[in-house]
Amino acid sequence: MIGMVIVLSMFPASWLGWTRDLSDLVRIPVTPMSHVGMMLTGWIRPATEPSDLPTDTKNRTQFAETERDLYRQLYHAQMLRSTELADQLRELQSLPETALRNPKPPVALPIDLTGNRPSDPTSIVELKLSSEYVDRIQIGDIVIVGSDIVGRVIRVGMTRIEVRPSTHKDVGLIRAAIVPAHPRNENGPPLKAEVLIRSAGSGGLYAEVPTDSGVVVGDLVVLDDPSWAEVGSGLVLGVVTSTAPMDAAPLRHAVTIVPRRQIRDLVRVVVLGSAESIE
Amino acid sequence: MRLLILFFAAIFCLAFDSSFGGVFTLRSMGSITPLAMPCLVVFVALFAPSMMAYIATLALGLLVDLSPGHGDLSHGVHLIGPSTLGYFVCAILIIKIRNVVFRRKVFTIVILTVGCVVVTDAVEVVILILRSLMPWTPPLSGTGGIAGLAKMLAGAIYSGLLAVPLGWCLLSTIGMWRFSTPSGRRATWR
Repeated sequence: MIGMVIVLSMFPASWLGWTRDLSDLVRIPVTPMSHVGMMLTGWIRPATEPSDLPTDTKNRTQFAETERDLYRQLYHAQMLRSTELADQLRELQSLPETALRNPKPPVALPIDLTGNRPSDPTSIVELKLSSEYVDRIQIGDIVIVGSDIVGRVIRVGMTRIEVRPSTHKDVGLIRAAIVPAHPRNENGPPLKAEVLIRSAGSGGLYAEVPTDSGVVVGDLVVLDDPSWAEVGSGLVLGVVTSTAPMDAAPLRHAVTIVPRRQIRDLVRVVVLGSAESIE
Repeated sequence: MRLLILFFAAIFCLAFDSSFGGVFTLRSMGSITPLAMPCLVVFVALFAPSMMAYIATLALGLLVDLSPGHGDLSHGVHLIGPSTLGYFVCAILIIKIRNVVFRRKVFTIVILTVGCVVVTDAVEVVILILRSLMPWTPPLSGTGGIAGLAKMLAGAIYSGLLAVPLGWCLLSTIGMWRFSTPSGRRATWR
């Protein structure tokens, strides 16, 4: 028998295929006890995972692809965010000095319309408001883009604000000044006229100026109203688009003013917040 | 000797060696794992009648060679011989000396278990060397012989440590095994 075992041990592997069947037979009585033992082993000494990565190659590949997609998405999101921030920076850089020197920093809000009336270009616009800006904006704050006034805040809620365009009929009279668009190129006075403007009702503003004021098409109308926030003084309300003599008042000209920017045509506005921020 | 008891003990030792013995594995020291079967081989070789001991150790070795996880050759083929012949050689040696040792002492089982592991591994090495000389098997290759030897010795010592409780259990149940009592002047078991 010993000799037979020695001979068997010298057999080539291809002749010993039957040992697998014998092994399966040996496995039969061993398996139940092994199973119980392995359960106890797992309870006493759980296997240590080198990491939380799945060990299967397919799962790892799927995991890697998922992570790649996630980071690609995050990259794109960050790229969009950086573009948005760059746009905001350009907007803020285009603000007038008065706005930037204001101790209360301006608030840049994305135009996220939550309610408006498309048929009426002068209608009140409702914007979504981030909760972090709620305590920095109050009623009456000026909404601008660059150096152009587009409206005023008339209501501040927890999640949205209402902005009334400066061309709205309920704005009332606004004290303003008409200045040349390019003062350096003209020899006239830097301040052509001080006017009271009001809504023309169709998306524009209306004012009357003395005939000898020298107001021409293209002149700028800037805010000069003490009832508005001081930081808004000098900001542009619109541009003169037409002047016409008035039959009823021969010494005066009717001036039509159109804002250079409409709030609903923009992607972002800046609110010159005047409320004290609560840190 | 009660073969049923031997069968259950062999199943336990096989299951231990091929699966849940890993609970004692020293992972930080090269995965040194103790073996239970050498302890049983030593116990049987110490107390069973000679012929029965030879047959039993051959059978135990054969079971170990065919046990799950021992398919070392290609395609999971099992090599019959290393444990079969190794345990058989151990049985020969133990039977030669069992009349001059304190068989009822756990320490004896511990020392013989360590020796059994060493002898079995030595026999396995001899068989593998002989196999490599055959024209149909590839020559042996590998490195780390000293490290392998150290690991084998460490495994043998660890198996000896395991033989302390295991040998105690086996000695405690020796009545159940119904080993035939020798008679005459050599009847006195130590």
